[in-house]
Amino acid sequence: MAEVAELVRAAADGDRAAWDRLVDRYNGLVWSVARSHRLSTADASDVVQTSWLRLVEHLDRLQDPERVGAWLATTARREALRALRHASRQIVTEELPEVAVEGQLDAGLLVRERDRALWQAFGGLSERCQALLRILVSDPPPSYDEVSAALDMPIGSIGPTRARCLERLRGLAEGEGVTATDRRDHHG
Amino acid sequence: MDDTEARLRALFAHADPVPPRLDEAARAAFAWRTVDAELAELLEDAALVRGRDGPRQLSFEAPSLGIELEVVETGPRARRVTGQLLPAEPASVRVERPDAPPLEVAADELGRFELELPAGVVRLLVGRVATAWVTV
Repeated sequence: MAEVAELVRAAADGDRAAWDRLVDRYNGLVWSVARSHRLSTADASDVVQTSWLRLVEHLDRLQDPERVGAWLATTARREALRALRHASRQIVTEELPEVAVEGQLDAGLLVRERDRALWQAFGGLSERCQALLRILVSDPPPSYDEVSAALDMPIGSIGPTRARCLERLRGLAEGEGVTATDRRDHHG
Repeated sequence: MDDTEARLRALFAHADPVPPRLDEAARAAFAWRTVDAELAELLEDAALVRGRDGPRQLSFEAPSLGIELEVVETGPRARRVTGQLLPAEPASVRVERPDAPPLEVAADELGRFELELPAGVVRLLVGRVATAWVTV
């Protein structure tokens, strides 16, 4: 990711466009790290804002500028844990935000039902699986190095855990009314 | 990519996208770049020492100055911050916030200060020492 290191150096030299590209590349990841800790929107927003302000003050002192995504993920994780440890900060207790699938994924009733089943199944996963998958599906997709930093999890265990969590997710989704066609797809 | 994962990605893109104002806030953070401030780093374990029930403690350290903060929640999004400068000395303390005007408070001859403010992201400036940004 030499290109990312270039963006960090350019931003450190005052290049605003380079900074904006870093935001485009990594804000989805930082947001997903905050949300994977089940913080409310207000607390998650504070975590995201703090992470980017920390990066501003560290632009010219990062040891590995090419790993700025991992640095941001680590910073966001620590800030999220700090927020969680603060006793009366509100923790999001409802499983997931309301999902408005209807009408948004424009591919007919069958798709909508499949997606509703998948969404409900996600809520039935362990917290660890939910956190890992939430971060993996951030946009754009993060590298395993970044996922490792976001979860404080060894890189080598991400692939196997990902596979196990997805398998569990498919199992839950099938139990919640996925069609026979989907079942063939998953097992075929 | 796995079909299930692709569908999950699409679902989260719809259900829990990055709020647009947070993209703007991340871009705007760049304007807080300071070239000649001396950074007082947040000591990572300071918030973890107390249990869940006590006030939150934050310690910042720069070569020339230490700043200790105790943060008390006075409402759902309201905070009282009590501070101590080390070494203890009177000083003007400036509280900067990305989304609101700065606040000024005076530390007394024992280096103590106190202020009330809404929950959010802040940093303190004392002379040319700036603390790391932190959520209170």
